[in-house]
Amino acid sequence: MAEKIKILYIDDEPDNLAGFKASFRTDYHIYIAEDTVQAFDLLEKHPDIRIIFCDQRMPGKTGVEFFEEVRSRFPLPIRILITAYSDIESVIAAVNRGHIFRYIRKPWIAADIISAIEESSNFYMANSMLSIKNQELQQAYNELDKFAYSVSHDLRGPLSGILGAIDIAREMDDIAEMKELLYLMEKSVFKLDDYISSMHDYYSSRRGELKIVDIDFNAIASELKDVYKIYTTSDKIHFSIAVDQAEPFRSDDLVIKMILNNLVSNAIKYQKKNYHNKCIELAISVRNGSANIVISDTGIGIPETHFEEIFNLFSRATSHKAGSGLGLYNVKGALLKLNGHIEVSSVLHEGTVFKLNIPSK
Amino acid sequence: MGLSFIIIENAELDYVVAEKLIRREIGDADIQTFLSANDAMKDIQAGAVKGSKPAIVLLDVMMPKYDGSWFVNAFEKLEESIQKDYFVVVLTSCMNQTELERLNSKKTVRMLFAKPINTEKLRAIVGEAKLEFGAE
Repeated sequence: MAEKIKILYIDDEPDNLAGFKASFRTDYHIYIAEDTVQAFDLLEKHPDIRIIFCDQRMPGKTGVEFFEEVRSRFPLPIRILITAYSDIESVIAAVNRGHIFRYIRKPWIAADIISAIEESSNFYMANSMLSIKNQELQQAYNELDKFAYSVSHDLRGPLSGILGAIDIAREMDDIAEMKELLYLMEKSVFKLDDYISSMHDYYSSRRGELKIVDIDFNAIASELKDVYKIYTTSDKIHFSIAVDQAEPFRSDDLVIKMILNNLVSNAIKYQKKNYHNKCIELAISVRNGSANIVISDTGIGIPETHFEEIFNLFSRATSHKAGSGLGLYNVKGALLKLNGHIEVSSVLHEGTVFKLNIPSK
Repeated sequence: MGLSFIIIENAELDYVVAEKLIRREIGDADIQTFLSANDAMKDIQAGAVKGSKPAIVLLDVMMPKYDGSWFVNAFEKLEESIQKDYFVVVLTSCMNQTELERLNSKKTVRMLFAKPINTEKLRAIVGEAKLEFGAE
């Protein structure tokens, strides 16, 4: 590691402090304190101090008592006691109660100190890694909980609806009525399929490595137009795309497409029902090594109070449209991986604008 | 007598099936469908619900924003004179046992069924509701 390990040494004799500092200052970053008040001051100012050495015999407070206090206020640094043989009883008690990691006999020799530092440092690293891993695990569990909850709604929901429809269709004679049911069943199947592909996006964007290639936004634009043609024609939506790319742009092709697909399909999904000038405009411009993407629609809009939460997992801003609550979450996750960012502005009942900035890789 | 139904359900297929099923079983039923629990609650509070009273409420649990649990909690806070006009039945595809038990333990939730609703379940609901309404 490039940075020196930070060590705090506490002793009431200035000579000992000076000696300690002189012996180890080249290899480690040494802080010294003559009393425990000074020591707490230093711990306060330097939360990244990794190891604390303390003399047992000091006026006012013993080293063991000091460590007891340190442990509750600063649990992270590794505590090492420096002591003479005569104090052995209190040292054993302190070790057993977990206040100190190990002790060093006085007068110390440099080799003992160095080996104590090495071991403490390893222990410290393992401990911090463990707490980082624990945090990651907790986050994964939280997402899993949300997933389990949504499985019953988003996967079972459409299926139970279809089952119910099959059941009622069995005793139906009217062909027109059956067709109406079939149409609704088809919609449920599409919804389910949509959900499954977003689930797939979710896992591949979380787990997958980026594959950086040259991106041709003109090609992506015409692809988007083709893919969404059936929807834009049947819903009478004017979909225009303007691309201004004069320089190369490098990124992950699939991730970029996933982002654009989500935003365009949202813009189609959340149009106002009986509005005559339905419109979606997508503008992509590549300048100075980054792509600026603006997509605006004439849709139902998003209330300002929802701006933050629309990017959360399984969050839905509206109850009247089909949505999985995964789309924008995936978009945000993907942008995080590409070091890009997204902002939203919207006027309720008038439309929504998403602005994205993605740097070239 | 004609029965009244209030369907609170945001999934189109589910409420269409429920409506058709009710029409088939009880020809002259009054049916009102709400896509949001909040809209239904507003009408109930304002006494704006159409159809004869008491009414059977078929309540979905998992809806965005205002879900079935929200509705039940709001319903529990209503005056008893309003509560007695509604026979609340929960329909759900939820598999979370704690959530289901929590809902089932509410005294205003009269019955709880797994989705989808079918003839058998509807008959059971109507049977129970008639017993209760008749006893008044």
